Amino acid sequence: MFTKNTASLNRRQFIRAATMLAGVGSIPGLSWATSGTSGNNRLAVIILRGAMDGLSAVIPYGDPLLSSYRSALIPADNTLLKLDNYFALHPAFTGLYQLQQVGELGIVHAVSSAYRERSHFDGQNVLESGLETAQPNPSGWLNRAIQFQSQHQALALGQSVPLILRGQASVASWSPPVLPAINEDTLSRLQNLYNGDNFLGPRLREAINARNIVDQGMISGSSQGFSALIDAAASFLTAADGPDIVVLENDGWDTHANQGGAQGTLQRKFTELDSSITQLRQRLGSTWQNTVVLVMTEFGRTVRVNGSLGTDHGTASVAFLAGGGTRKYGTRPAVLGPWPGLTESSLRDGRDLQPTSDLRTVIAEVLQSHMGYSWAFIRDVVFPGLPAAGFAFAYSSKNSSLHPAGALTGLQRPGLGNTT
Amino acid sequence: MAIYSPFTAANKFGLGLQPGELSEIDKDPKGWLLAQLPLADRLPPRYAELGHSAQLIESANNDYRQRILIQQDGQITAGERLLLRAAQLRSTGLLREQANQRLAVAIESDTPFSERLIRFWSNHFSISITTNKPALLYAGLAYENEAIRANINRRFEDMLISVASHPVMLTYLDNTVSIGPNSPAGRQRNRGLNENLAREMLELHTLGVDGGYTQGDVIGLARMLTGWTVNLPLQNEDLPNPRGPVGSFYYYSLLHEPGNHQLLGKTYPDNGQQQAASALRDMARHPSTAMFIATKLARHFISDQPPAAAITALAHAFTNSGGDLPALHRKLIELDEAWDPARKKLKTAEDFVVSTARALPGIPLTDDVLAILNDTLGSFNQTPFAAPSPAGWPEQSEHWGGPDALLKRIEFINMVAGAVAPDFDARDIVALILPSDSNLQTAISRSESRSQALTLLLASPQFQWRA
Repeated sequence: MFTKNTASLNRRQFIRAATMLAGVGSIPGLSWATSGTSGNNRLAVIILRGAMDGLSAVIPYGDPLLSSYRSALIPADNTLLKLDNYFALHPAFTGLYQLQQVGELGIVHAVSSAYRERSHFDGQNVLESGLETAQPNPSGWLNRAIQFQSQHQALALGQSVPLILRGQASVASWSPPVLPAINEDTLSRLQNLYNGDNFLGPRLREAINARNIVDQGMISGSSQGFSALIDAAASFLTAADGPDIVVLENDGWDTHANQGGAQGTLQRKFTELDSSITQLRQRLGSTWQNTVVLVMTEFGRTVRVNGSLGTDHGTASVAFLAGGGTRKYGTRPAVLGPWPGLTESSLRDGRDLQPTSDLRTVIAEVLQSHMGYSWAFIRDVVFPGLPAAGFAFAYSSKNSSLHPAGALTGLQRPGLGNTT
Repeated sequence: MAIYSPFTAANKFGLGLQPGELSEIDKDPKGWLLAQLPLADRLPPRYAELGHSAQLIESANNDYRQRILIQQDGQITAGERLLLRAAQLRSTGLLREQANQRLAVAIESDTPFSERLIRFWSNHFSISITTNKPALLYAGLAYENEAIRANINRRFEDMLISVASHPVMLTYLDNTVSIGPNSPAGRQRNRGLNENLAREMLELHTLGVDGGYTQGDVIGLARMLTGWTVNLPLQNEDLPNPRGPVGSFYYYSLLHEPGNHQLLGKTYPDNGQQQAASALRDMARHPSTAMFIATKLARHFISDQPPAAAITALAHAFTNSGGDLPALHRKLIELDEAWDPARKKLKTAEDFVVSTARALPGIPLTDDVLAILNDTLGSFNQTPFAAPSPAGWPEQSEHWGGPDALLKRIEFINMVAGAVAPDFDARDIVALILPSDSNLQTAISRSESRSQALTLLLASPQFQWRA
């Protein structure tokens, strides 16, 4: 029979493994070069890998066309967490909704990186490099951001340092002393491969059945593991000599099949993300007031539901900004960014939500207003080639006439943004 | 006519493709294998510092006797505790060092077919540290190098005699405590035969359990083997051979059962050490041995149920060459059945860990990384030199591919992929280590992340097999 101890690898060994194999040191009692720290603002970046369906996260329920594309994916109207008369948060986002009510949430819709194809690999490459196209071995934009800025220190929460933090600046990673959970999606993809193997296929099925019975937690998703990373992120961000920037990765967003509406795969991911941010807020205590959490994904998903009740790779999605640090942007519409609409002709390639905001402009705004970077440094180093115009927060109402909420001026800071 | 696939050469004959190797092997997969044979007895540079078995066994024996002495009087002083601790550290350190270096040699090997042959024969003549005998803990790897590797390009009987006379094997299978009842020592101390080594040499090393020997043959061989022992201090502190190196083989005539002895219908005259050596040579040349070796080799390199024709061909090569091992190994390369992609072997845990590391070149093989991989092998129940019995590690897919074992492999790969995914792109690697497979390639290209892609590649059923 299966028990946790006999059926699993020695967990303690794997914290070592995670760091050693990645070629980085573990960091017990780590100390940070914090000379010249200019502020105590914090930035947490959460990368959602697999492409989050933005239209399910922040639902344009006020658009009469929506149900014609994807009625199977829309929760009942009376369960939606309505933000205005056009957009609503998915019912799973109770925590984010509370933040929104107190002015600690920014939502940018129809946002995307510069990437316009539909490969996860290349999409994540562009998302993390901040460049125009996928490159073989680029540096990450966040690494470039801290490279010449000794007051900033970044840490990757996870088994390895992801591309976004790779480059000249040395960055460590930390992961908890537990064996990383196998995500449900990965296991199901593996099962598909094993079905073609007469010898191994039945054995893997048997193993998974046995383990499901004994130990739901092992393969029921990465929630447990992610929660530990959130705890760690809060500890690091509140440590006196800790990093001011952390990056977390969350897998399992590639919902090609049985995505679900009110309940289902995607709802579970939303719940996990929502409770993670709530948990981070609680654990950060007063530091939350100085924190911005940036949640981003490599691209969006098709507007139409596909033949297997899921969605395929699309273009624009949603980015979230959470945290007390977003209060500085003042009163603002619930949903930012020009709304491209859902008419057939406004869809990209007749299938995807048309991107109207460049994610880099959103990030650039956070780097400037929250982390103290100069526009020149961002333009020259962090996002080379990013045009000065077009900050997401800088759109005037005329650019977003399709969005009934109208003006998007709320996030403008004095001296910034009126560049269009 | 077989198709000589570079994937088969590297993954089935060898220890797993390294992504950079494919084009070179592809020029001449068979030639790539053949060219490795003459190099098989080279000592890998990593082993240069390990020391000779005699020194290691002397050290093991000293530490062991010291422990007995200290524990005898029932109380342990602080100074004694330090000594015990030092000895314990020496033992575990040596064990870890041997395991780490052995794993690294496999991962780095540029002659992976010959390295697999070494491991095949080492497993054929298996020892096991599960007995906790100090000599094995200290000198297991030295045994493999001195008895197996050094003889890999000689005749089977040379390897057999080298194994039978190696202090580690003599200790493992208790020949060091086997005493001829009518020998001077036996008469004096009323001690007797231990059949262990004789039985396993007939059953596991040569004729095989159905090879046509009897209990009488076991006793005959055991009698002839008396006196084959290790030069280590006796109860009275004297060395059996005061002028010989401590810890090495010594034929100690005082232990030898006198007289002519019988084996398989033949009488061997009492000529001391040569008596058992002659018997071993005859065992090596026995037709049952040819079949037994051929079957094991075919089972390791072709499939769990190898075709009879392949076994016969190997047995002929064995017999016709007088048990010449390179001739036997060349024959293996010539067998069409070995290149048949439909015949495959499930990777053992060691195969799996080694081939995983080979597929991800550039991971620094530091002591820490090697220790983690060895810990993983421990989790997979294949700690180096810890086979469950003198029969060595099993060959059957059923043994290695149990449901729980599969999940453990997936967990391991999930962990590895999470740690190294930023450095490796599975989409590039897949075609460099596995034959084209559209299902697998599609699954990898559709992965939601690099980490998932790498997990799908290395935990895939395709990667679980040597094919």
